[in-house]
Amino acid sequence: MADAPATAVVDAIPFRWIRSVVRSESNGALAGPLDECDDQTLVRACLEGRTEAFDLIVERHRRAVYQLCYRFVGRHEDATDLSQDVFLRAYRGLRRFRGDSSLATWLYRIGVNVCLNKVSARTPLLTSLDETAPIAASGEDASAAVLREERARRVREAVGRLPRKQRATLILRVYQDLSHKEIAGVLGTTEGAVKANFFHALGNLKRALTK
Amino acid sequence: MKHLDPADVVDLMDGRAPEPAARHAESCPACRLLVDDARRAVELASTDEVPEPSPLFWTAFSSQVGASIGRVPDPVRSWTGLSLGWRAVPVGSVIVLAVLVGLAQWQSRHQMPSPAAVRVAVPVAEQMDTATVLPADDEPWALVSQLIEAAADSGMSAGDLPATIGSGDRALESLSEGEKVEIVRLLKAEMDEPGVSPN
Repeated sequence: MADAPATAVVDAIPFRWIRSVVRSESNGALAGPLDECDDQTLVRACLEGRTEAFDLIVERHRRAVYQLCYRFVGRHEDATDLSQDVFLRAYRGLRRFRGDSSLATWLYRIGVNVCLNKVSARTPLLTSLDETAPIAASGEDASAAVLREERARRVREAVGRLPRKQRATLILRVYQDLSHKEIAGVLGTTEGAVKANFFHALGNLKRALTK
Repeated sequence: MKHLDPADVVDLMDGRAPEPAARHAESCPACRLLVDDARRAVELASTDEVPEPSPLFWTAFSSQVGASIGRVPDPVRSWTGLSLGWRAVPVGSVIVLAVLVGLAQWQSRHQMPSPAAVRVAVPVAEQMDTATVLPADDEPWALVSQLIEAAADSGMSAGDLPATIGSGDRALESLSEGEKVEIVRLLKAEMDEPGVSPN
């Protein structure tokens, strides 16, 4: 310890002390590898100073969070920025996660808020030129790829024109496969309101796509 | 039965509608059309897939999140609000001493039969006989005693923070072994700093 930098020693004093007490009271439950821990344990480990636990949280949820953001903005670059912002906000607010819902639901809630703040209602999704170039799937001819991409573009635009709550509900239900109850938790509303929003979102989507 | 409401339609799509709603949908073309339209809209929406980024993207993504997190305060530290900079070394040592002395005072008030008899307003260094209180080789005691003497020399005990006989060792006795070890480490680290040592 004598050869440790003075600043590091002073900075670490109260927290290591507190942590040592906390850990001794919990009988060292967080000792050992984190890879097989559940999300709640990872959150607890992170709050006790094991920052590598948050790396695992990111690794487990990054794809779902990225896909959620992509559904809202329709651009890889924006989805990347937004999903990084989601994890940053989650890290900053980790002590507010009480475990009432799953960590994934909590991350979705942050993600929806971040995305809805970013995109305004009824704003058409921007699609970059790179992303409009269709890529044929294996065994698919070029014309089929063009048609598929055109259909997908129309769906993205129609979803992008839905009112905010309808859009969030549809994305969470159809693309993220959340239950109505989970969506209610994410959006802070009732299950009945979620079903109503979903029903109206589907109706609006159908009308937009069959014009 | 009246026509299906939105929640009934969604429940029917999910195959979770109550029996009366399901029976009504079979016999009512308008409601059946609503359910079919909703199913069709879900199928259309499902045709849009998110392009999968390259595997390298995920590695870079995690690195960028990690770098961002490195630039924000540790949630544990912001929670406790106890983050200290290196300039706080002297302040920290005074706080540690003040806590020890305060704890000792509190204990003496609750344990001693006559508080008036023990609250002697003489410097701590004159009151304490370390050899008779704890074994001479007790490292935590020696360090705390040394620092309390230094505090007394600097006029701390003559001012607003009077100490009592045996307050230091009572404070130490109240600590767990782990806390004693931590105090020794902290005090050693601080005494290693130039200009901080009580000697």
